[in-house]
Amino acid sequence: MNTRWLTKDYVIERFESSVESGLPLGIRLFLLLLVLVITIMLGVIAILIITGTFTAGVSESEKLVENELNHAAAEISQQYGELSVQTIEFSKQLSQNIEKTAQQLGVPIAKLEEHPDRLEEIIAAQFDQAYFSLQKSKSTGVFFILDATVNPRLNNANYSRAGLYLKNMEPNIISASTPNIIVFRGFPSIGRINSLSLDTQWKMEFDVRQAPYYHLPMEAARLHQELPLSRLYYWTPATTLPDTSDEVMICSVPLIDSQGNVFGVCGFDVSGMFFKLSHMPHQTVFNRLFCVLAPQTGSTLNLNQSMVSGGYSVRNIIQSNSPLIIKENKRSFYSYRQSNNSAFWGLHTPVRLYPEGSAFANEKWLAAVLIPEEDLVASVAKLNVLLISLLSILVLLGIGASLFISQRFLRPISKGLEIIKSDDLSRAPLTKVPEIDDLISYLATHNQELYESAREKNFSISILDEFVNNTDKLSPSERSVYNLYAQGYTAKEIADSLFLSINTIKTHTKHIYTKLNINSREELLLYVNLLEEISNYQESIADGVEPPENSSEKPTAVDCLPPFTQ
Amino acid sequence: MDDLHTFEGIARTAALYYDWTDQQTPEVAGDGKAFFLPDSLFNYSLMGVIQLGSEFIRDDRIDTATPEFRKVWDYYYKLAVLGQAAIFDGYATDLAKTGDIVCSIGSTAGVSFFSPTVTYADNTSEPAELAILPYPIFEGGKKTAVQRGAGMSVIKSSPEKAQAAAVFLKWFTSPENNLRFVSSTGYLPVTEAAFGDLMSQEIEHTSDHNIRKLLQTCQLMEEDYEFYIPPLFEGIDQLQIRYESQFRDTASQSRDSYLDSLASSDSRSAYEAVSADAYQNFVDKLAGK
Repeated sequence: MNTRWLTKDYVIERFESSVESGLPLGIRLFLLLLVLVITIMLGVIAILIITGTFTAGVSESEKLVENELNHAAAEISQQYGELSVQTIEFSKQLSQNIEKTAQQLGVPIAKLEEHPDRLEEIIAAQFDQAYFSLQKSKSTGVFFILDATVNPRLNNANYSRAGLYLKNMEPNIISASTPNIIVFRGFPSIGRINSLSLDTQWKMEFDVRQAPYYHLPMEAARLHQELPLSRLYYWTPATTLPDTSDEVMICSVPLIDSQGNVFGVCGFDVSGMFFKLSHMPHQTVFNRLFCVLAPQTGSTLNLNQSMVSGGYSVRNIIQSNSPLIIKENKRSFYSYRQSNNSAFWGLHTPVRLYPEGSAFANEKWLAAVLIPEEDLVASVAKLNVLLISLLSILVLLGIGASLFISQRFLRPISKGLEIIKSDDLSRAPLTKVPEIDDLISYLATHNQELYESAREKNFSISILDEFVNNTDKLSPSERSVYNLYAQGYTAKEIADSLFLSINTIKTHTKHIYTKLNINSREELLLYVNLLEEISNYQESIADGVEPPENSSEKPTAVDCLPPFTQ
Repeated sequence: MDDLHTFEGIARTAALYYDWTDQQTPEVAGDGKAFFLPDSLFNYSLMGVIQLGSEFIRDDRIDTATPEFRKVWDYYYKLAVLGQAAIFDGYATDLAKTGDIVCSIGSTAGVSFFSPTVTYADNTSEPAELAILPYPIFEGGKKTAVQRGAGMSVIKSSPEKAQAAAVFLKWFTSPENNLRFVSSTGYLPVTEAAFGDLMSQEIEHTSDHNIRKLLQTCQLMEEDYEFYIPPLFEGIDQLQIRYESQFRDTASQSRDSYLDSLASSDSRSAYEAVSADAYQNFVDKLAGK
């Protein structure tokens, strides 16, 4: 490929040449095509902008997040709804069973705290129901707490409550033949009889000092005695139980005997790890996409009371103890911003954990799917960089194509011009461009005519030149006779004029005819007249006078010969 | 504490502890408490036999015909029947949490399962301090301890993932990173280099007292002990479960019989009566006869 046009010298040379003689046809054609390419590209960019292709990344991301949110919200609602129902059922059965066991032992439910020696027996009798309820549920723990303590003499007796808390350490394993269930709270004998280990952080009783899951449902039940259990269950925000490291959300409901006495609570928990395993969003596009179930306070999300699942660690955000402020945007995602500028984009939807009429109906929860702001920006920028790169490549290809096409287009024209400049158009090769070949053909024909015409003219002029040249061969005597002939004298008049015999004149005439290559006096006069006409024509040109109209032929170079005047 | 370096010393201490606890309630006879529990009867038996210079497993079976095996078997059986060792299908740490034992033989990784308090049946509790000693040996035996535990495997996948797994394992098992794992889990290091200066630095800097004690003991054992890696063969896990279950069942049944016999005879006679055929019954049962 010829790359000379790429060199600086070439460009300067062409530019200087252009300044002097105007732009060459090739550059004009290239510029024309370039304008065309740029126009098309501008059109494409305008279409991309109008159709929102440059912001398509945001739209696609929004669709993705919306799908994830719908999916997560549906699953969360189902899981928490089912657990709420199971908690109510568990409470009904457990209340009956405990009342029955207590009656058999002669212990009135309302006076459980007065019979601590019976608590182990009463609680142990509920193990099977608790164990199977845990296995049936999609939860990580089941518990019940009685409003009594095994040792009322201890200092912690006013906040230590007896009960049982079983934890399923592998809740994500479905239908495990040997479930990994351990005793988290409760009498150790229950674990030993049933071959269950004690948790590392096992305690015999519950510390209910900071236990809304214990106090709130019982208070609600005492305050709203008309409400059924389905309006009394309570979901705690994500919390870490005393002396433990796992975050849990607990659903608890009061234990109420047949007389309406509230004597404890029971329920299930969902650990942070189980929530994470159960509601992991698909991270095909955004690695750090994450799902949140959080309590809503006004226009803020409390992440430190949330369950989180996904590829983003919210530990640092939670530690800052600052809620996420929700802000609606006009066109797309919501933004979720913390006071320390940690920002996320995403969508949220309400999750109803309580039915209408619930004692806790004012507790609002949201499911949200969020992306760190920098990830979304990077994703959109990446898409647009790709798009702009593709457009740039197209522009470069267009410029290359313009160069190539202009060169290819000009090649036959240049060839045609070279052909036209050549000596013999009739023998010129075809350019295979009909218009150019027609022009060459026309020029070849026209040139031939011009040539023939010129040749004819040159022929006559060459005879005159020869005639003039031959006059130099005449002797002085013959030149005198010739001059008189040229003035129209006859042979006899010349003999008289020169005082010579007619025979001498005839002899000179014969020599003159031979030297001038003519045969008669008439022929000689014809030449003389022609020379006079040419002489007159040249004089008129020199004086600026138009040649006579009947002078059809233009003089040629031979006209420069001086007229014969001697 | 020096007695606890040998099994014989542990047995002497267990007898003393049983008597002492029995005396705490003079009104109730024979309610002494168990002193200790080996976490895995399989590992206990394996190492006892190896320490005494014999083989526990031959041709993928437990060799019950050696006097060394009989000695090891009798040791636990007797303490269990007498109530000086616990019979328990679970980890010793569970019993330690409630004060039902005060000594256990177990995995290094068990260190994180010990509670800093002991809670008794009446919900009273008291703080407990953990002492960690090298693996006990039978008197006259070799200082040998078993090296078994959790491992890692790479699932067959793409070459890229296999490469990534190898890179991770190299990172994970490098002495510095391995020690971080060791000091948070109690597992033993996988390289000798990790036992040296790095472990000394970790001992100096760790805030977990139990981990500090564990690492100090591990350093001692790394110098004085040989680590024995038992043979691996198909079915060893089932064999272990069967062995332990039958050993516990035998001890438990004998313990019940022993307690029943105490009503009509003294301790020695009662033990001799219940233990007469126990070993042979155990061996026959293990052999599937």
